[in-house]
Amino acid sequence: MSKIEEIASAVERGKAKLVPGLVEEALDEGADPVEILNKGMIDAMSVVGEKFKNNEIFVPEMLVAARAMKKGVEVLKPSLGGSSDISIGKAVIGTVQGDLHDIGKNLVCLMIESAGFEVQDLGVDVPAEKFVESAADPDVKIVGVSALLTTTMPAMKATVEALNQAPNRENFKVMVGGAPITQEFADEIGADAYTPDAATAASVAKAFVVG
Amino acid sequence: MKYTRPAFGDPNIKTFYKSSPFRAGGFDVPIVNDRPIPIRENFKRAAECRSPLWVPNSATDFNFAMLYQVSGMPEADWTAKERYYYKDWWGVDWMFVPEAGGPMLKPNTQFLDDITEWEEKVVFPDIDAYDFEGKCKEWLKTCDPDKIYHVNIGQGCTERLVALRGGYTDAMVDMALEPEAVRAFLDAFADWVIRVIDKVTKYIPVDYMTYHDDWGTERDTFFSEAMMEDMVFEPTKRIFDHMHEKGITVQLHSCGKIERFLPYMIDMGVNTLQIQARANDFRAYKEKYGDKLALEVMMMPDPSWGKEQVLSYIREVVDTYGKGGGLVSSFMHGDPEILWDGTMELYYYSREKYEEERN
Ligand code: B12
Repeated sequence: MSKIEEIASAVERGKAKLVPGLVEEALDEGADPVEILNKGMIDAMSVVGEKFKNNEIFVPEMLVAARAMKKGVEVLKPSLGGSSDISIGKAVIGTVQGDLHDIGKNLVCLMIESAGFEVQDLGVDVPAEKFVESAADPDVKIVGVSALLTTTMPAMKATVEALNQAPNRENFKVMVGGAPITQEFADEIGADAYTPDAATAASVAKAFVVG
Repeated sequence: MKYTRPAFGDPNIKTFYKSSPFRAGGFDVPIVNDRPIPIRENFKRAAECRSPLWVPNSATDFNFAMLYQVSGMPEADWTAKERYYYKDWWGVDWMFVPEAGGPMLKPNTQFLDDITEWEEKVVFPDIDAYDFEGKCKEWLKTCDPDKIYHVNIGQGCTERLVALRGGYTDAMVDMALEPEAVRAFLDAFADWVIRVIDKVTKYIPVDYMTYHDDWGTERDTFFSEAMMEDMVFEPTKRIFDHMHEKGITVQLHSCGKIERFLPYMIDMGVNTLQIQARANDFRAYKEKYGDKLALEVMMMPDPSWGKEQVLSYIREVVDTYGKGGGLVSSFMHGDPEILWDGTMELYYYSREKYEEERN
């Protein structure tokens, strides 16, 4: 197994204690930092996301994998020359007003971040204005809106409507998700995309940006 | 139709006022007064999937209390119109969110920042400091002794872990990385719950208890079977065993799609399941586990339906899930006439159905 494969396997298994050391060893051996990031971590996290999507692993396994990747990125960052070089765009993600469910939203943040975005997590209970305000940043390419309650689906609708009025609307894509959300509802409220899980959210977001 | 349903407003039928611990107001529910066997005995038969005489309806057959009502522990005001904060009896901060209709851990707060320190930092609520006796007696005064005593004892193992750790994320990481500490905490937690059960049953002859532990997401369980076997199922089973020793029927409430845990639930001695309709295939569960595990299926007619449609829906639920028992239900309606007729239909139709089944 190559060092990069070892990193990938440690990330997949959520070995946060092992990953930083392995990354250092790989760098010492002269491995390309971008390749460590892409093959050792981003690809490993998509495997994790894919397994989660197929119900082969569960939320805790996914959380520890993401933590392991984070630890690795910390070691890698200086060699990558700053975060702006590795970011493919900015994504702002939050849960709508009145709704405090954040587990799904956090996983979406993690997967989108692992796919190469710089993520701004707006947290939970986020008013529509706050989404619009954050989306005004010209670097923002993706706005992710999460809702877990049927009672907060109207807040999602209001949020997407407000985003659709934004003067810089063509700069970003609006993605929505959460347990009660459907493709039909997403179409009805004028969102650009709906995905049922975090792994697909990351690949759709990436496709929007890199084409 | 063997039994004539008493007509709406029949002067021989009394009503009683049923209020809910979760919302203001209540309903005038008609009293079904021709029961061939005691309500209690029928409920046991339904919950144990042994041919009951009718489908128990919690609106007419149960006295129901949340743990706070019989313990005096602090609890959210479910009728609040504004957001507000409160502390539960463990000292954990919560925020009540009226627009969502429920409480939520106060964001960005964490009671316990490291699970391995639970022994030093977590103080289990001193149940002797609460007036269980006074509260239980007060509640008993509102009860009908012929109906079953149903107490919801609230948060279970994983939910308490989550509450102490300030949310699911850290709690789930603990389960993945610190299984020994989690297991030790949950064992101590189960001992404490058992003492709560003893305290309540000292004053109330409880028939039925609901234990609340959300184990699923919309698509699957939160955790793997291995993780649950390692940390959660055993302490949970100890709690259920204790309930059974006291002659109590065990209900497990668990949100999300929990299908993969059903065989474990049966092994743990769960009698009835309160689970989410949207995420679970009730028909398939009934088919596969219907002789071992009873389902609570609430009657939830579409608010736009007229009376006849509601009544045929009630019959359909009874036909689909009632076979051999194993169905516990509940019917409420804002329209007094539909409430009356629906209550009667649920009772008499299920009696007819079970009579037919026995013959
Ligand atoms: C955990 C949970 C809670 C926790 C929340 C903890 C937290 N920090 O998030 C607690 C206990 C606090 C809670 C509280 C409440 N809850 Co709750 N909760 C759940 C539960 C069991 C799981 C949700 C979850 O985390 N799933 C796991 C994640 C991984 O899945 P997910 O969120 O669906 O996310 C995935 C996808 O949807 C997608 N996705 C999510 N967001 C986004 C965003 C974008 C942009 C994209 C592309 C994709 C995407 O990707 C994610 C990962 O693959 C669900 C059950 C269910 N069926 O979902 C109920 C559920 C959502 N809750 C419900 C209710 C009613 C409540 C309360 C009102 C309960 C109450 N009476 O107290 C309160 C409301 C609090 C509030 N103001 O928000 C109901 C909602 C019913 C309805 N009518 O809509 C549910 C369905 C359970 C039920 N009883 O029916 N809840």
